[in-house]
Amino acid sequence: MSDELKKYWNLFVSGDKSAFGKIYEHYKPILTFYCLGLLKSMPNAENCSSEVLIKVYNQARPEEIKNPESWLFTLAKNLCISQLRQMKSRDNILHELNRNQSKTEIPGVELQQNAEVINRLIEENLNESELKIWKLHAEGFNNKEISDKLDINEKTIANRKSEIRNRLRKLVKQHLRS
Amino acid sequence: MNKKPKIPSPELLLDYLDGILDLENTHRIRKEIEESEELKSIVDGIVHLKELEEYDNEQILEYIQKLQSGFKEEKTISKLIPNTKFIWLKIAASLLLVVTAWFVLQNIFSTTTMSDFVDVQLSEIYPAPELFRDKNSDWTLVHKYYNEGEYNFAATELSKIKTSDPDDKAADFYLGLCYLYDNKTDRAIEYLQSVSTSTSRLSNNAKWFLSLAYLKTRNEPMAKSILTAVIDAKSYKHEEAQKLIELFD
Repeated sequence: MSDELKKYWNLFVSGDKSAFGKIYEHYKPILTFYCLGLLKSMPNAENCSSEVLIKVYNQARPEEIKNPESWLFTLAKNLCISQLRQMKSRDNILHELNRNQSKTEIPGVELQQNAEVINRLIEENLNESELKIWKLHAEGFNNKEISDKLDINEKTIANRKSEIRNRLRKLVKQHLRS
Repeated sequence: MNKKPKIPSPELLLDYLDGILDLENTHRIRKEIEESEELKSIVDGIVHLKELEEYDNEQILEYIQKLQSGFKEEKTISKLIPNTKFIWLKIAASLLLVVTAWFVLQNIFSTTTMSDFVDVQLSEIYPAPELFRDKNSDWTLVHKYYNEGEYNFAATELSKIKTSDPDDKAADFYLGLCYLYDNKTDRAIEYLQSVSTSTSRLSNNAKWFLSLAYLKTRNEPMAKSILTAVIDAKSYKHEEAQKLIELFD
């Protein structure tokens, strides 16, 4: 959990229910995709992630939870297992849970073989400011954190990232065709 | 220099999957995915949206934003009252919405304090049986199924072990746990009871889970009696037992 999230978690634990909004904002997409990876059903994944977050919100003693992030995933996994058990046969469940090879071998990731070329494309086509934004994004910082570090408006960061993303995708597609 | 958050955001993972990150971070994220079951599932979820639901990248980013904004009731209410002259009305309406949402959540989703505590305790899964027992291949399967959350199948393997050794208290203990995690609480109580009254090294651990099982069946007198024994003996989970007993009326 990042320092920023820990701050909001501590506020929530001390009774500030509004701090839960930041926790929700961060974990709702992550948990939804996590459940979607297991359940392969969007409505079920959304329901599961909602159920996990409602449990957090209604937790009478959140201070008892030593590792909140780990607890969220444990809860989500258990809910998904229950759902799968209801929906599928044993073989399908084992197939879902036992995959050792994650889907990192998808078309976009084949570009790792050309990663140095991508690196060059990034360095040649982004200006200094864009490079900083993109690097911080790649290192895992969210828009607010990037905004604080670079002293640029948060909405500007979001817009710039979107522009950079679209430009890089076009360049990568051109590279693949050539 | 830069501190890294633990789980990459879905937005970042999407960029990783599209191959538009720099070399260093591409390798870093790939390594993190390989080492994390959670990240593997998150990536699978994104790929599911791309390949089976046929979302393009813009749609995925919009979907992420939609998920994130689910908690923003105050902003929704503000949009319904465009005239800024009536700011007092906006504020009053916002407060009314927040208070109403709080009451609705409390009424629809309210669970007893004790039930919340029990759920938290049961969400921390007890460690799987040690694999030095692999002289008997059934324990290897128990270990595998238990770790995968397949408590039903783990219980089947444990029952086979019991057939060849009816006095195996470790098998009884793990049978109790499997039935407890699988919401077959009455069967869980049967096995945990047997271990808790034995001389097995797991008897104190069994007492704790037995108390949780009795609470799940709303048998508070039995639960309270066992929790008191756990506290008096200062045995496994005695601090949690103390907190739990304070929640009784």
